[in-house]
Amino acid sequence: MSGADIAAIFGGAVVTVSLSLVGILIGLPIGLGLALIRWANVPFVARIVVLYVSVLRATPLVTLLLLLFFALPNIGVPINPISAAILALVMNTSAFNCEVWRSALMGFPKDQYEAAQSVGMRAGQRFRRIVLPQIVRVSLPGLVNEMSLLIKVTPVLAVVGVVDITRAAVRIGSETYEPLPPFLVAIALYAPIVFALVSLQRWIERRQLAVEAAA
Amino acid sequence: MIHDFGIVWSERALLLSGLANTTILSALSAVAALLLGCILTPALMSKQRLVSWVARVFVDGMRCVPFLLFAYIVYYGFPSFGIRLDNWTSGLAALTIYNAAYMAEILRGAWAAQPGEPIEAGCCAATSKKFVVPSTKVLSSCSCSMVGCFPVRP
Repeated sequence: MSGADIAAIFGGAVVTVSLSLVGILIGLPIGLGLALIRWANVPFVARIVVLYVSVLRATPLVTLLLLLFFALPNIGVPINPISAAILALVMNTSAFNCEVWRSALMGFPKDQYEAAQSVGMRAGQRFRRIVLPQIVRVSLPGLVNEMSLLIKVTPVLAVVGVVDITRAAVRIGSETYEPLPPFLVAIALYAPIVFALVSLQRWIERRQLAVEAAA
Repeated sequence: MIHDFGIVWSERALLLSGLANTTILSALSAVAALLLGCILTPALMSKQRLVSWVARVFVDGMRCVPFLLFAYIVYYGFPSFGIRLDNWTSGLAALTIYNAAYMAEILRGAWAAQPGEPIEAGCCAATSKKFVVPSTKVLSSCSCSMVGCFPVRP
């Protein structure tokens, strides 16, 4: 394995990390929005959100990605691999995020909301000052878990030609006929990224436990 | 459009064999992973430092590697160690080993969340049955997260 090969895997790492980041950053607020629609029980739209979330959670990311990449041009929407990948990641992760946010919203004590109402806060204020800070705290471990799942699912983006860490490693392995070294380099790249997220999740959970114990 | 679905229909044998593969692989690996997880969980919670450390490294290692990469390693990388599996077997092996780590972690979490009294009571009542009381409770209390774990897969 030459230096150029290692550089190629690092190039793949840049693609993996940036696609995951874009997916997380777009997917988080969309998931929150979907959860809010369900929480507020917006007529008709909430039904559609339920359907969307159920279908998306039941569809493997590869299938969704292949569908988007090959079917959208068929109905006249041109799409390149990167945008198909981002679209699929966002659709997938927003559905899972929606469930995390929603369960936090379901556990939110209603009396606090009513108390905020009674002191005359408007809907926006109530959400921003009372609801959001608390549900963020509750849903954070689940969201971080979802982020690490998202990073671990990025190798399937290779089916439409996105060259990420895994794809670069497979390519080098098939060129040099020695598949093990590039795979080990790939693991060495993935492991710190995901391990950082897993540790973050554990740290958050431990801190919350400590806060609860102190209270 | 209808013509296109006609093609799908004429190729249904291929699709159905794919469905059969998916089902069989999922079912077999789920059972095997659960069994392997049951063995791993006591190792994770072992009082022996070395045993629990090795189990922890394995479980955390698996949690940090994307499944697809792990499947590639089993299929392309294991022959370097002299383990040569055909594609079906290596798929099953990869699924089993990977999911076993998750199973072990879920079981450990459920175990740790159990109240200590039933276990102590079990220990007092009969040593031979002490595994039965907590294990049935642990399994039933974490079955939801287990079912949730399996579909998370490319």
